[in-house]
Formats: sequence, structure tokens, C-alpha cells
Amino acid sequence: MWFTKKDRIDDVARQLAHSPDFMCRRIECKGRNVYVLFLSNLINHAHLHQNVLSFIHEQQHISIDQLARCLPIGAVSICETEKEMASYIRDGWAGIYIEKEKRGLVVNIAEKVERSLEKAETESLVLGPKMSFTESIDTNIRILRQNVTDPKLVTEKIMIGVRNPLEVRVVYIEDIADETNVQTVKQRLEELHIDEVIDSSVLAQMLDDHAYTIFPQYLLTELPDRLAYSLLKGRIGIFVDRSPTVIICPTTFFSFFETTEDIYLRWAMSTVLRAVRMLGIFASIFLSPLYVAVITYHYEVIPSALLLTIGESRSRVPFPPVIEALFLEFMIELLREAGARLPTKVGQTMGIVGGIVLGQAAVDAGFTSNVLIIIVALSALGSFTAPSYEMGATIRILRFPIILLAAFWGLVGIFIGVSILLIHLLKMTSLGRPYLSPIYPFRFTDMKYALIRLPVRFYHQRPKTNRPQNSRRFSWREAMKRKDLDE
Amino acid sequence: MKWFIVVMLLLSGCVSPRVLERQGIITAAGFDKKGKMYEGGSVMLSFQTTGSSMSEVIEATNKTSKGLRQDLEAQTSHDLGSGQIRAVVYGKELAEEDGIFGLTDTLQRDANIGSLVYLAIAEPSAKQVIKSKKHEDTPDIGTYLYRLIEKNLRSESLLAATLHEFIHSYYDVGKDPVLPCLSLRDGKPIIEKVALFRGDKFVGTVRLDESFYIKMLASEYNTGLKNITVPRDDVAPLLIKKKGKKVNIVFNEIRTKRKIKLISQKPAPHFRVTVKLQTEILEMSEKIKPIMQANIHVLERAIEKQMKKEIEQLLSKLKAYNTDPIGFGQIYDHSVRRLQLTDKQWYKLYNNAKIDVDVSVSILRTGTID
Repeated sequence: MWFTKKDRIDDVARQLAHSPDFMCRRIECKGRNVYVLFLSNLINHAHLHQNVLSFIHEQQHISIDQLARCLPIGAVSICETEKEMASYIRDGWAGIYIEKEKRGLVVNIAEKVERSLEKAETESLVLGPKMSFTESIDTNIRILRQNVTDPKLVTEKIMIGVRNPLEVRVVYIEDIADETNVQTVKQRLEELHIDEVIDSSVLAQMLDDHAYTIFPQYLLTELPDRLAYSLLKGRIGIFVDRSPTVIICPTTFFSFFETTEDIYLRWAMSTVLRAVRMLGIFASIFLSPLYVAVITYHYEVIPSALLLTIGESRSRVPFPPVIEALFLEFMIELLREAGARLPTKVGQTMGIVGGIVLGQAAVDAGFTSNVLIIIVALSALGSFTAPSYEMGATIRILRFPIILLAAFWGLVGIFIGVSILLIHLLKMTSLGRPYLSPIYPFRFTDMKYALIRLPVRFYHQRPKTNRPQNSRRFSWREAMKRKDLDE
Repeated sequence: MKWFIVVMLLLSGCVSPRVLERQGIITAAGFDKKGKMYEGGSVMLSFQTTGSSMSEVIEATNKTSKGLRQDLEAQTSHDLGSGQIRAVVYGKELAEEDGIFGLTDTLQRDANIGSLVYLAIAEPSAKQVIKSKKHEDTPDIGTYLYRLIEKNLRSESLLAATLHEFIHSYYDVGKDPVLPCLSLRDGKPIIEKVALFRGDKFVGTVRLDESFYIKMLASEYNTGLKNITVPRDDVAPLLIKKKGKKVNIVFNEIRTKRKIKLISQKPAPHFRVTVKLQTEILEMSEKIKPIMQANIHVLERAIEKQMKKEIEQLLSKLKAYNTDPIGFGQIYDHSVRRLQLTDKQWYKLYNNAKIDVDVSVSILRTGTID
């Protein structure tokens, strides 16, 4: 079909919803009209002038094919229809029509807005690389390629979203990652018929095995080194355009409690740190329920040295222990939420006002007991030791039903809660892989990847939990050899 | 899940809460005999909103211990909770005449009361011990008694019994319970003696230094220091001076191996007690020559001789009380085949039983400086 140039340009404009920044530049060149179409907000103007407009101007002979061959621009494509061209222009490309030619040409002169590389904030580290991913998938892939130079690195592109298409990249190491896992991820992504996905965290929820659980099933990270480490251990990463966090799958429960710092630190330190973290999490879930259960039902188990302290501070409180505990937990949650929503400077003041003034005043006024303040503060601290923000939030919520169970049934209630939690965790999967591995199914050799750390020479095999195609990392025998000069 | 929530709400009424500060926490209880009734007192801890907490003794008289409990409840605004009870004291008169099993049995059946509660006998009455105001730095007398008994049980020669152990030895054929015997000095409860029982009835006491041997023979516990007085002649080769009659030696038990064996049943049971004691000498009342490998056995033999004598004295004393805290009856029961020993049979046999004592002492060191 052949339209007049006017029709064609109108058609493109219609496709772009008559956007006011849609521009059509007409250049006369050797007696033929050349039209350059673009959205002025999206393009790099200097690029347009130097490499497109002046280039066309200088041409002796002009045709679409010739331009496609000679334009000094990396990404060039020929379009057959107006719709196709409009979608390119929407991405910041420029469209070129030449009078009396059927096809159009698009060139990439887009200038995407993105922030510069910054230090990781949600997963801050003391030791190790500090760079974090940004919102641009191109930059993120670039960072990844700098981190993983393995030739077997695959970055597969899948588009998701009918209305607002989004570029998603599935990355893995071809000869390490388990094929079934890769197939599952791809299948789940391809089966998503959805209008739009806003962020990688939303995509992660769409990929969930269990929709109703409160536990996160995929790890979200903003650290390139963590992604690289996971890929090389046989996991799969999913990049999502416009999102600074990368999905790592399949994930186990324990990987939410490890940081890359564990790997960078010496084995003894990171073993202790992991133990501290696990204890913190445990305390965070069970300390306040234990307080409620003991004070309400089981005063027998209080050691005699503590009996007076607890009794004296409790005797001033007019509420039952469960109300007291819920009140204080609510207060801490309020402080946390207020602190998170406020700008940093005001947030600090909030912390001081809330933490010290409110806490002290609550005790003085006889609203809560001293002991409970300590317990609640401890459990709040414990929940913040979870390196994953998502898991930390989960643990904070988890405490409330257990407090209620403790208030209803005492210690028995807590154990019912623990049992239900345990059964739930045992049944859970992430990408079809057991969530509680290496505890269940029990994989002894994977313990060093989950609960403890050993000296590096013991890491000669990749974790079996990830089902790597090739589990060998280096020769165990050689690593155990003494390497002295005189040998 | 929804069923779980429904069940949770429905069943939540089934447990009655016992909130800590609403409880009048009993830390010690005492029982005495008053005519045909029991007289009981409890130390109740009540938390004060200001200042330090107080302990209060409340008393009642009734026919049964649970009846006592009801009378006590009438005297306080708190719910009496016995979950933190640490020590139960029985008056000597009560223990001697009625026996204390009936009272310990109710303690045992109460699920709130741990079976590691310490029992003790009080002289002259439990009431006086419980009402004592002298309890050092502890907040109440119950905690004081608990710590007093526990410390002396751990490191000294006290033989003590928890509720569990008392009930166990009571039901066990061929073994009698022992309990610490509390008495007052300047109004402060202290441990001076160990009370002996036959069944659940108090029969008499032995001094703490005698209970050293009972503890040594009956249990594997460390027994602590022992002061022994030997005749001068026995250690003469070691002494520098030649005057005086007796020499005191203090030693510390390091490791003891004891063995009681039934060597013949007829005509009367005949036991052999072998004790192998490894000790260190801590103190002697007189200057002595340097102890060498060559002369150390003089000291060892002297101690052996004296200990053998003291053990034999103790055993005859126990026989006179007709009580068997060491558990010879148990050994007899274990050693004789196809025998269902009863207490009655055993006391008859025990009276005629012959017990040989064989002590061997080895001194490992004479003070840690060498």
C-alpha cells in the first residue's frame, strides 16, 4: 500500500496519541523530502543533530537502504508498518521516511534517564564491593558482564506485559544451572499474560509457588557480587527493566539470612555472625510470646533471682500481659514505620523521641514493665539482623499470631505455633525446590553453605541444593596440599 | 486454617490464667503438729509497687494440708500459688509421731510443685524456722533455705533430699530417706545435723561430720572437707614434738570409689564395704617432719584406722536407730535371687547384719604448693 507522506506521518502521530512533543522535521535533500520523526523528550538532541540530520544533509544520493547501511549509529532497523515505527519512536528512536519510498527507517538516538551507580543501601556491607544495581536493565547487564566473564553466561530476553511491555532477562550459567530450573523459570515467565508488571518484586510474587504464605520465596538483591556468586553456584537470576533489584531463584529459607559479607569474612567470624543472626531471629519471634506465656500461665519457670524484678515491674501494670506486649510491639512497629517514611534527619529525632522518651515514660506511667521494654527492644533488634528486608518484615509479622497463641494457651500455644510454622516451612517450595534445604531434605555437605562457614578449601563443590549440572569447583586434593617454596 | 482460628477462640476459655502479680507466691511452707491438727505456715511473697518487695508469713490450722491451704487463701487478697515453692519444712514432733509421707504425697501430686523442692526437718518447730527474719541477702526465707541447703549439698557433707528423692527412698525397699535438720542459732536457721528416718518417721539425728560417711557410702556426691582426729601413737614417727594425746588432720576428698558387696546371706547377711579414698591433706594441728614417699603411708594408715573406726561406730548407731540410709537392703535385694524383700523382713535382717569395713586411703598431695 502506498500512502501520501501526509497520511503516513499522521498515522504515526495517531499511534503516538498525538503527543505534543512529537516532532516531524522535514529536510530537503537532492530534491527529495526526508522526514525525521521523534519524540523530543526522549531523544538525545546532540546525537540527532550530529549523526542524523547533518549526515542526511551531506548525502549525495539518498535512499532508505543506503541510509541503513551508512548511518553512523549502532542500532538501526527498517520498519514496514507505521505501528512498528510508532512503537520504536515511543522508545526514543527516531523514524526516517524518504519521499516515494515504501519503508521507513528507525535509528536509536534515545537518551534514557537513570541515576548514577551508587552504594547499596538496603543491603549495606562493611566489607566487599559496594556497588548496587540501578533502574536501567542495560546498565545492570553491563555490571553483570563485568562481574561474570564466564563465556557460558546466558542472558535470555523475554518481554512481559501486553500494554506496557517490559524487558525481562533470565540470566544463568549454561553448564552449571539446572536445566529444569531454567525451563521452569522461562515457562512461568512466558505464561504470564498480563497487562503490566511494575517491578521485579511484583514479578517475584507472580512467580511464587505459594501465593498465600507470608514467607518470601525469591531472594531480591541489589548487589551485583551477590548475583554473580549465586549464578556461579547454579542459581538463576532474573533482571527486570526499570527495577534495581534482581530476583534470585530457587531460594532456600537460609539464604535469606546470609550476606555476601559472610563469604568475604574469615570462616570463624562468619560462622559466629550467622549464629548471632539465627539467634537474633529466634529471639525476635519467641521472646515476647515467651514473656506473655510465662507471666500469664507459668510463673513457676521464672528463676528465683528474676522473680522479684519481674514481679515488681509487673505489679505496676494495669493490663494483662498480652495487652501490654501487643501495645509495646505496636509502638515499636509505629516507630519503625514512622522512621522509614520520614526523611533521614527527622527520622533520627523520631528514633530518639520514640525509643528513649516514650519507653521511659511508658514505664514511669505504669503502662509497661521494664522487663518487657528490654524484651521488645531485643526482638525488634533481632528482626533487623535479617539481611533480607523482606524476611525481616515477615519475622516481625510472625511474632503477632504467636503472641496471641501464647496469650490463649500459654507455652502449649507457642509450641502449636512452632509446629504449624515448621510444617508450613517443610511443605514449602521455591521454584519447585525444597525451601528448607539443607535441613530438609537433609544435605550434610550443604551445611557449609547455609548454617556455618568453613575454610575456603572445603568449598570444592557447589551446593547440591541448587542441583548444579557440574558440581566440581576445584580439586580437593590439590587444595589440601601444602604449598611451600622448597617443594 | 479457619478451623484452627475457631478452635483457638473456643478453647481459649479452657485455661485459667495465673498472672504473675495476682499470685501470692509461696516460697516456703512449714508444717507442725498441734494436737490432732496440722499447723501450717507459708511464706508469701507479695510484690510492692514502690520500694522493695515483702515476704509475709501466713498461718492456719486444719486437719489436712489442702484444708490448710483453704484457710490460708482466706487470709490474702492474692491467689496463693505454690509453683515457686523452694523448701518445705516439717516440725520434728510431727515427723516423729505422724510421719510426713501424707504431706509429701500431696506435694508430689500437685503438678504446680516441682519435684526438686527441698525438704527439711526443723528443730524445735517448723513455725519458728519459717518465721525467722534472718535470711541474709535473700528476699525471703524460702529462697534462703533453698540456697542454704543447695550450697551445703553441693560442696559439703550434707545429705539432702529433694521431694523426688525422698519419695523414691521412701518407696524403695531397703533404703531409708534422710533430710537435713534445721535449727536456730540466734534466730537464724542453720544446718547442724542430719535427720534419719525409718519409712517416713523421724528416728534421730547424726552430726554433719558423721553424715560425711553416709554421704560417702550412699552416693557419688563430692563430700568436701573432713576433719579427723587420730591418736598420737599412730602418727608418732612423723611428729616433732612428743607431747599431747591427739592429732587433728583435715583433708579434702578428691575421688572416692566405694563398693558394698554381700558376701554371705546366712545365718545373717554379711556385707563388705570397701572404700578407696584419694585425698589431699589440707591442715594438721601439729608440726610434722617433711612428708616423703617413705613415710606418707604412716599417715595413710592412721587415717584408715580412724576412719574405719568411725564408720563402724556410725553403722552401729544407724542399726540402733533401725534405719538404713545407705541402702544395704537394696544391695541385699539385688544380690539375692528370687527374693521379694519387704521392709519388715529387711529390718529384722538388718539388726543382725554383719558389716565389714575396709578403708584404703591414698594421699595424692599435701597441699598444692608441692
